[in-house]
Parts: sequence; structure tokens; C-alpha cells
Amino acid sequence: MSVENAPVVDVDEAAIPVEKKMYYRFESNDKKEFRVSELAIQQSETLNRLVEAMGYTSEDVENKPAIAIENIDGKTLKLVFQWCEHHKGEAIPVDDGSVPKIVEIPEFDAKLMDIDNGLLFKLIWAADYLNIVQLLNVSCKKVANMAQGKTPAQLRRVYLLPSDEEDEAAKRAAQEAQDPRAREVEEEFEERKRQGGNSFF
Amino acid sequence: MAVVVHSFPLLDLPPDELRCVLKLMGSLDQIAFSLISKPTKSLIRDVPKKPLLTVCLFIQNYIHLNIAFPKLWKTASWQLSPKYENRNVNSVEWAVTEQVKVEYFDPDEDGNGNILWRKKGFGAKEWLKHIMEVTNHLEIDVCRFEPSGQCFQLASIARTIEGLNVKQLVIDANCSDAHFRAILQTIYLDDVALFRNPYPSRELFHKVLIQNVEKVIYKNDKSLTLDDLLVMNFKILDYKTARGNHLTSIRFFNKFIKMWRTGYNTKLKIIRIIFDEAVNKETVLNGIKYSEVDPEAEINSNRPLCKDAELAKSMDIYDINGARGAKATVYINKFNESSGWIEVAVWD
Repeated sequence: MSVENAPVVDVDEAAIPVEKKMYYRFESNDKKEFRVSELAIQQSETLNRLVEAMGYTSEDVENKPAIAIENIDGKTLKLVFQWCEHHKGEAIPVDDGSVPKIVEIPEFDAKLMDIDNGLLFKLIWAADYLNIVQLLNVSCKKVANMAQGKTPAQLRRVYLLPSDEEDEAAKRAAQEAQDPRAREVEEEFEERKRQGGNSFF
Repeated sequence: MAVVVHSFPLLDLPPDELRCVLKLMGSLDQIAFSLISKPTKSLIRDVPKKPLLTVCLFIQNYIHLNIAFPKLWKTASWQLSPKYENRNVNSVEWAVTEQVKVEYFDPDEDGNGNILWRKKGFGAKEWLKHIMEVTNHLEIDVCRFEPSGQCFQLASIARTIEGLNVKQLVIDANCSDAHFRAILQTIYLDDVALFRNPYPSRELFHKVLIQNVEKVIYKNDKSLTLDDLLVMNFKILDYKTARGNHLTSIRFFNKFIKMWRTGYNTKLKIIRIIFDEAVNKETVLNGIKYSEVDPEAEINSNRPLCKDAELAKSMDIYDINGARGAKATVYINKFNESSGWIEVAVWD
């Protein structure tokens, strides 16, 4: 995809200091390209370290190929960068281990995460991979809120959780699949029994 | 057209994010989640939580477990039996179904409401154990009997709570004498709160008092006597009165201390009595050899009953000796000129 056609996330120009006005280009695993401000990138510990290590100049970011992010698709990456642009310059929260952990979902984030659960799942994985602490907090809070006021049976369906019986059945099936020779021996034994053999050996 | 996914594959999240989601769930939602399977129970047990304020089992015309969460006014109650009206005394066996009604109140988030939970194979004991385990509150603080709970067979309650760590038995003062006595004879706990003497004679009451319980809180009955104190077999006695209920005099307490010094009631470790008369060392320690203790030294010692420096400074503290080398400290705290409390702590 050419740079001209790359989706650009909304940028609040006033919030960016003049000397830092540099946009990096990133490419998702489905070849969608994004231009992201340097300040927004700071929300992601992973990307921030990456661009620091690359030491690109303004010319480099325009002339060199876009930085590939191979684990994340374009739809998910667009959400990630929209979030980073909106929250650029904000302090990155430090988990002080306080209990209970209190996280409020701001209106912008709530709208951004008004997506199907499949995409929300990908968003959390992306935030984990890119180490964006506050995006992780709000997206996990969104998932936690799905439990509100539900019965155990409803939670089982919401979170796709197996019951103990299903867990045991799956374990048995996995064991059998891991040891095909054991199954063959068992079948052979059953066959000999049917044929009236006294001894297996 | 895109397919909207309604379910969420929670267990496929990275481990840190899974833990984060569980930490961010509401307290009641966490308990519901823990009921799904053994792995979900184990996950919730490992989530750090603020300690619960109290867990109380109420025996009324239905049995329910109440939890007060650390957040102000937030509570949940599990109805562990049907509600019974006009049943005969001791006629209903406590047998809970797999389904319980959960009532909750949270002034900020969910408001109040109720929801039905079901867990295959669970009886009352399993519900109690499960809730205690996943909240990391491994004891039921209070088991309280009220007059309307007399329909329940006490033996079935004793069976259910047997083996669980139930700290204190509280019997409502309005329970009938027969109900009151039956509870004392069936439910044995180390810590008992009594509000009155349900026996027709002091001798029978003494039989209860010499039961091998650890702690008794005795409230609002002004008839406690020196004999009662001497036959007691408790480690701790906390004797409280409502204001205006004039109690046994301090002179009687002075006699009790003298008797203790000669070797009576050696099991007693702490006795705390509130008096509705002026408390002073002249009356409390009349005829008893004592040595004054500096409150600062008491706070810094390894046996402080009161870690609160301000409170310690407001008290008069004296050491006395007992029989066979026993030592005790007498704490005198004046509320005002006409009331105060005295505490005696025996040290090994």
C-alpha cells in the first residue's frame, strides 16, 4: 500500500510539540499502513523502544519502508493507534498492586471498544504485544463488566468456559490422541477377546 | 455482513490479562465465576482481595449467610433455605437445594437486586465452604439465632456447621428459654455471646458457664455474681452493660481479684467489665499489692493489650501477682466520673 493511501489516524496537532512532530509508518500483517505521531507511540512501551533503537530521522521515516508489525491485522491496529493518538501525552499508569484495582472507562474508549467480542479479543492481544498499559486496563475492564449480575451458568456461556465434566472429557480425549499405540493395543485386546483367545501375549 | 460474537474466550487471553480481568470483576461476580468449575475456583482464590468485613450466618425463619464487603454498605446474602412460616419448633431439617437466592446491595454500582444461582451437587455445607474459600475469609464470624429460627432442627444446623470455622455463637435475648437452652446444648462454639440467663436457677446456669468455651461476651444482664465469675471456665470474659443497667459493684470485682490471687479460676486469661460507677484503683486494688506500670513501657513491651498509644496513656495500669507465680495486669479506664471499664489480663 502506498503512503498516500495509508489511513491516517486523527491527530490533535495542537497537542504535539513542534520539534517532536514526526510521524512513523507502520504496516500490519495484512499490509495496511498507518502513520502515527511520535508522542502517540510513547503509549506503547514496545514501539517506543523499537523506534528509539532505530534512531530514524524525519527523512528516514518517509524514505525507509514502513515498520512491519507482523502479529496484528489492520483492523485491530487501526483501533490501537486511534487509542494511542487520543491518549498521547498522558501519563502511563503504574500498577501499584492496590486492591481492588479501580479502572474507569472514558467515553472515548467506550465508543472505541463498541466492537464485537472477536475484535475486542484481538485488541487485548495487540495491547499485550505492544505493551500499552492503559489500553490493557480499559479493555480488561470491558471484559470484566460482561460478568456483571450474571449467574454461573450465564458466565459459562459468556466466557466459553468448560464445566468440570467437559474438562475431564477433553483431557481423556487428549490423552488418547497423544498415545495412538495404546489405543491400538486396546483395540487388539478387545478383538482377541471377541475371538475367544485366552491370552493376549 | 459481519457476524457479531456474543461470547468471549476468556481463558485464551494471555495469563496477565486473564488475571487483570478477574481482578477488575465485581466481588459478587467473582464468586459467581468461581462456581463454574474447579479451575475457575482456583483462579478466583488466587486473585488478591481486600478482606471481607464480616461473614454472618443468620438462623431466622430462613437461614442465610450475609457478607459485608470492605466497600461501605456493600453486602450480599445467600438464602440457604426456604422461608418457613408457622412451623412447629424443631420441625424443619436444614436441607438446602442446589439453587440459592442471592440478594445483593451496592449503593454505587449495581444498586440492589437478587439472582438465582445453581450448583449441581451442592448442599448448605458446600455453599458455606465454597464462599469462605473463594473470598479467603476462612471463618464465619457469627452464627446468630433469632426467635423465628426455632422451627429448624438444631441437630441439622450443628451437622452442617461442624468442621467449619465458626467463631462466635450469638443467641438473641428474645429467644424463648427452651430455644435458648436447646441452642446452648446443641451448638458448641468457643466464643459465645449471652444476653441473659435462660435457666430457672443459677446452678443450671453455672453448668453452662463451666462449659469448656474460650470466650464469653455477656451483655445486659445485671445479675452476674461473684459465684458466677468463680465457676467460670472461660479464657476470656467480656461483660458489657447497656447504660443505666447498674451492675455488680467494683467491690465485688476486688473480691474476685483477691480470690484469683489465691488460685481460683486459673484458666481465665482476660476479663473485661464495664461498670456504671466511678472506677478507681483505691477500690479495685484495695488490699492488693501492686506496682504501677508506665503506659509507654506497656506499649513497648511484648505483652501490650492495647497497642493504641493514646488509649494507653488514658489508662492507669498496674501489675499484680497471682498464685503459683502467675502475673496479671490491671487496666483501669475511666469514661467519666461515674463509669469506666476494668480489664485484667493474665500473663503466662
